[in-house]
Amino acid sequence: MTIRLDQPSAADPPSTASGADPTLDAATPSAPPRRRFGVFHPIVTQPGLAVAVLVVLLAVAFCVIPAAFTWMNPYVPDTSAILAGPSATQPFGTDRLGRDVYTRTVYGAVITLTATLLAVSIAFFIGTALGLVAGFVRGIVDLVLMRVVDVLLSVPGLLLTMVIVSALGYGTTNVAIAVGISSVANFARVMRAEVLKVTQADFVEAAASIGTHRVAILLRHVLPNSMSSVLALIPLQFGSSILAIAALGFLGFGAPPPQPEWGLLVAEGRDVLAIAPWISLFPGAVILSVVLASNRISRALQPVRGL
Amino acid sequence: MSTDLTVTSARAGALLSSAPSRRGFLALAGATASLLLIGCGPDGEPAVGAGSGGAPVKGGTLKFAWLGAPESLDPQINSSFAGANFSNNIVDRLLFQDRDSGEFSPWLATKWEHNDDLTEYTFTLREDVTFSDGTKFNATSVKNNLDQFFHGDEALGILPNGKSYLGPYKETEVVGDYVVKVRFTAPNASFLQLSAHSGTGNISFLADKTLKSSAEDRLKPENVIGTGPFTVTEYEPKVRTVIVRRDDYKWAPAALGHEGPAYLDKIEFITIPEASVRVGALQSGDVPAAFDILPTDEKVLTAQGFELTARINPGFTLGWQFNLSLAPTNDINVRRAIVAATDRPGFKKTLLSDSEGEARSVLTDGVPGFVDYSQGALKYDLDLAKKLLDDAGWQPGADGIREKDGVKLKLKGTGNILVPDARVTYEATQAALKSIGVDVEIVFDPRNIPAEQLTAEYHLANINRGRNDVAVLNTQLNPDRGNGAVIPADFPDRARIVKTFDALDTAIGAAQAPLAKAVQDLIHEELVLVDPQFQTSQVAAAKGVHNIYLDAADRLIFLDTWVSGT
Amino acid sequence: MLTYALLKLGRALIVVWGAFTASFILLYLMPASPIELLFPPNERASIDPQAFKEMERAYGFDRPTWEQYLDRLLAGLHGDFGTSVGTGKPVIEAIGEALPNTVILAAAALVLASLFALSVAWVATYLESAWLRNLISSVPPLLVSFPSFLLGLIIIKIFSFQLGWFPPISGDGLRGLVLPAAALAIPVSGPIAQLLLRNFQTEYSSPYVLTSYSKGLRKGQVLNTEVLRNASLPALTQGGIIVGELLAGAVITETIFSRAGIGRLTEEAVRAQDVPVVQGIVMLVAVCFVTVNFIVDVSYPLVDPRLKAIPKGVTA
Repeated sequence: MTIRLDQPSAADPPSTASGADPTLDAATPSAPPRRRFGVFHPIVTQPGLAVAVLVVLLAVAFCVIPAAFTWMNPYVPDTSAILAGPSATQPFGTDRLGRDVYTRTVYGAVITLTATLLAVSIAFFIGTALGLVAGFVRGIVDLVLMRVVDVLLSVPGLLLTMVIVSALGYGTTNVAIAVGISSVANFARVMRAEVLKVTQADFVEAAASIGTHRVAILLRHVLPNSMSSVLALIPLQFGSSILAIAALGFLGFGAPPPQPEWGLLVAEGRDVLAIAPWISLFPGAVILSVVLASNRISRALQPVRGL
Repeated sequence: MSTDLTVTSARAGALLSSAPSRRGFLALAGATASLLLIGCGPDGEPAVGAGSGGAPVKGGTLKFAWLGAPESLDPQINSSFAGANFSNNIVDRLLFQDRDSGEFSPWLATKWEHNDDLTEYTFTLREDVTFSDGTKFNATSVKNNLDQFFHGDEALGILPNGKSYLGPYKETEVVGDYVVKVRFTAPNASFLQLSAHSGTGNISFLADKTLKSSAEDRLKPENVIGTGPFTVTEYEPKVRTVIVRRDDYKWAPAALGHEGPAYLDKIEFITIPEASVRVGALQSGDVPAAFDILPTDEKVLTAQGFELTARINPGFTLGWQFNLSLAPTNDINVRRAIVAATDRPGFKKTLLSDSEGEARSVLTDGVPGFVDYSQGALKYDLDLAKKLLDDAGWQPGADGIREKDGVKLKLKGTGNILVPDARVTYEATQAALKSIGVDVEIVFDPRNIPAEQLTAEYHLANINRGRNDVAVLNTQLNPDRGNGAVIPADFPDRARIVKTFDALDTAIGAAQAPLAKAVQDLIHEELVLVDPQFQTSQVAAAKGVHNIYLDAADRLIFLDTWVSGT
Repeated sequence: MLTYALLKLGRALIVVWGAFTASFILLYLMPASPIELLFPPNERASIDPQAFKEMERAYGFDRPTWEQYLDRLLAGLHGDFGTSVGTGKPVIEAIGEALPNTVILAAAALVLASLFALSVAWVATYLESAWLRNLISSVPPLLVSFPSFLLGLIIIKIFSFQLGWFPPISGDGLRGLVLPAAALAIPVSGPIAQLLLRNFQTEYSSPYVLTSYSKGLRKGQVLNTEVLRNASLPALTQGGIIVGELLAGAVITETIFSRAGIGRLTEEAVRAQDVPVVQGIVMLVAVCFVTVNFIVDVSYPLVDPRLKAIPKGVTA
C-alpha cells in the first residue's frame, strides 16, 4: 500500500507529487553530485544484500520450477490432515481442506510473481515512455502528460487499483493491470526528472550544438543516461507491487480460490487466526521476505549520495 | 423448555416420516451445541429458563456483536441479514410461524381464512395493539402498509420495495376496523407464510407517521415507528444500532409463551466485521454475546463454556443450480455426475461444524414438504459419476479434462463468500470433479457479475435462499418465474414442468405435501436442476445471556432474552 | 507570488476535473448496471423487469452517457455526487458521516508515524556506533515491506486478546484509538522514516554542520537545531501522498478495528459496485491530495528560506 512513497526522487529536490516542477527541480541546492556503483560489486561487500539476492532468486525459482521444491499437490484436499500444525514433513502446516500450506506458497509464487512482473512491466514501459516524451519534448505535451500523471497520483495506490479492478472485474490479470496503471506515474516522474537533468548536461548541449539530430540525441545520450534511476526503481516497484497484488488478493479481488495466490493464502487463514495461525503467518512471512529483499536490492542499485 | 428437544424430534418425525434418522441428527446437533434457549414449550407456558440460570431477570443492557449492520433503519428496505434481524425486534407480524412444525399461530391477527382459490385472505386483527407513537394498529394500517410496500410512493421518494415479494398483489380492502381482506390476481398459497416471514422481503407494519415521511426522513430513529417490543433510539451506520424496550408491549405471540414487555432494557447491536475480532471480543469479555459465529469457532467456544444458539437456515440448501441452457451442463449426465461427485455426508463428517447439516434435498430439513433424497438421487458415488460421464461419451483428453465432440468439460461456477464453509465445500467438490476429469472455475464473490452474464457464461450458480416455505422453490426455479436453472424456452415438456411448479400455489398445509414432493422429484430425479452442498446455519454464542431466540426464518427475537447479574 | 499561487491553483483544479472525468469513464461505463447489484445475484432473476426499469429510472442510470456526465459534473460542482445505490442515502452524507472517524484515525496515525519516523532518523544519525546505526536504519525498510493487511490482525491479537491492554473494538475514547492508529501508522511511517533518514544524513554531511560544531555545539544540539529543520521540511512536499496513503490504509485498518470510516465505506462500495459512492470517495481523496499539495506548494517557499528565490523566478 505504500506504493509510491518510497522512490528515489523522494530524496531528490523537494517537489510535491503534483509538481515535477522544472523550476523547483533545477533550483534545489542540496542535491549532491552522484556517483555510481557497479551492479554486482556491492554483493561482495554487503552480506545483507547477498541474502536479499538469494531470497529473490529463490522466489524466482519457486515461480519457474515449483515442482522442484515440493512433491505435494497444492490443490488436492486431504481430509485426513485438516488444520494440522507445522511439522517436519509439512513445515507450514495444512489448511482447512488439509492442503499443505508450504506447497501452496511455493505454487503461489507462480501466480503472484507473474502478476507482479506484468504490473511492473506495464508501469515501466508506459511510465518511462511518458516521462521520456514529456521531459524531452516539453511544452504543451509535457503539460498535458504531467497532468495525466498528476491525476494518477492524486488517488493513492490501493484506492486507485480498487477502483480500476471494480471497473475491469476481478481476477489476477486485472489486478496486475490495475497495479501497473497505478504505478505508471512513479516511472513517468522519475524518468522525466532524469531526462530534464540529462538534457541540461554539458555533453548533451555539446551534442546539440554540433548539430546532432534530436532523435539521435534522445536515443544515444538522453535515454541511456537517464535509465539508471528508472532501473533502480524496478526492484522497488517489484516489492511494492507484490504487496499491492497481495493486498487485493487478501481483499478477494484477485485470483479465485483454490489458486494459492499469496494474498489469498493470508486471507484464507484470516478467520482461523486464533486456532491455526500458521495458515496466514507463513505466507505472510514469505511475502515480507521477498518484498524486503527486493527493496534491499533497489537500495543497492540506487545512486549513492551523501555521507 | 427441557421438553423441547424431544418435542422437536417427535413432531418432525410425525411430519416427515420419510427421514427419521435425520431429525435424530438435528436433535443431536442441537444438543451438542447446547441449544437450550427456546423461550417456551409448545403448550405456551412461560419458560422458566431451565438449565440456563434460574428465573429471568428484568432489566439490563445487552451488547450484541455481529458481522453486518442494518443498511437502513427502514424495516421495509432492510433486505440484508442484519437488517432483518434488527427490524424483527421493532415490528410484529400478522402470524407467527412455529420454527419446528412450520405451523401458523396468531400474532397481530387472531383469525385468518382464505378462499379456495387462495386469491383472497381475510385477517381479523387484535384490537389492543398500538404503534410506539401511541396510534392504533388497525385494518387501515395493514392496507396502507401493503399498498405502499407494493407500489412505493414516488412523491415521497419511496421505491416499490415489496413488489417482487408480494407477487400477484391486487389490493387490500378494509372490511371493518379490525378486519382486512388481501386480494391477489392469481393464487398465492405462500402469502400466509409471508405474513409470518421475518427474513428478506418480510412485511413490516409501520405507523402512519412513518408511511407519510419522505424516504429521507424515514431513516431517522424517531420516525421509525413499529408495534414491536423494542423501539430504535440510536443508529450509527455500520457501527451500532440501539433499541430500547417498550414498556406497554403486551401482544407477544402466544406461541412464544412470553407475556408482557421484553426483559432487557436495551440492546446495543455492535458491528464487528472481522470474524477473528468478533470471537476475540467475545472471549475477552468485551461483549457478552455475538452472532455470525464461524463454524470453525464453534468447538472452541463450546469448550470455553459459551452457550451456542444454533439453527439451520430454513429454505434452500446451499448449492449450485445448473444452467440448462449452456453446454455442457445441458447434458443431464453431466449434471448427474456432478451431483454424484459431491460428497455431502463426507462434508458433514470432516468439513462442516456441528450446527451445519448434510444436504438431503434442495430444501432444508425443517421446511414443510421436505423429502429426503440422501439415499437416492443425492447419493455420493464417485465411481457412478465417472461411469455416467464415460457412458455419455465424455472421454478424457490429453490434459486429463474430459471432452466430447470438441467440447471440453470445463465449467464456470459462482461461490459464496458470506458463508465461510461454502468456500470449503465448493473447493472440495471442485477437487473431486477435477479428479474425474471435470474442470470447474469458481468465482467466489459473484456480486459484481451482471445477471445476463451469469446466465450466458456460468454453468453453476450458487444459491442459498432463505424462506421457511416450499414457495421458495417456486420463486427460484419455476421456469416462468425465477428460472434459476435457466430452462430454455424450447425445453421438452416445459409446460408440464411449469404446471408442476405452479401447483404449489394452489394448496396449503397437508394438501401441499404431495405437490411439494412432485416438485422435488422433478428437481432431483427427473431434471437434476441443483447440486446441493450443505445446510447452512446461524450461530449465536453467549455467556450470561439467556434465551436468545432464532425464529422460523432464523432471525433473532429478543423478547424473551435476559442477562444475569444485572 | 500571486501568479505562482494562481498557477498552482489552476493545476489543482485541472487535476480534480481529470480525476472526476477518469472516474466517470471507469465507473459509469462499466458493463453492469449498478441497479443489478441492488439484488442478491441468485434472486435477481425473479425480480420483475418492470420494477427493475423503474428503479433504473429512479437512479438516472437509463439516460445517455454524455448527459449523465454533464449532469453529474454540474452536480459534482455543488458537492452532489448522487445517491448511494446501496443505502439510498446521498453520497455526500454517507461520506460526511464516515469522514470524522477517518480524520481522527488518520490524524492520530500521522502524529504517531511522524514522531516515529523522526526518532528513527534522529537516533540513526546521532549514534556513533556503525553497528547500531545500521540496525536502526534497517527498521524503515522492514516497515515498508510488511504486508499491512496482516499487521492489524497481529497487533489486535497481541495487544488486545493476549495482553488485554487495549479494547479490540475502537469505541469511544483514546484507548480505542491506540491500536488502529498504530496499525495505520506503521506502514505509513516506513517511507517517511526512509526519506528523513536520507535527508538527515545528507544534511549532516553539509558544510554548515561543521560551522555549527566549530561554534562549540554538541551533536545533539546540531541535530536539533539546523539538521532537524532542514531535513524534515522536504518531507512536507510528500504531504499529499502521505494523506492519500493514510486514507488508503484505512481500507483494511477500519475493517479489522470495526471503525466506520472512509476506508470501510470504500471497501464496501467497491465490493457492491456502489458507483456513486466510489466516485464520491475518489473525488474526496483527489481534493484532499491537491489541497494539501497546494498548501505545501504555496507555503513551502515561505518556510524554507533556501527556496525563496524560486517563486520570484517563476513570476518574472
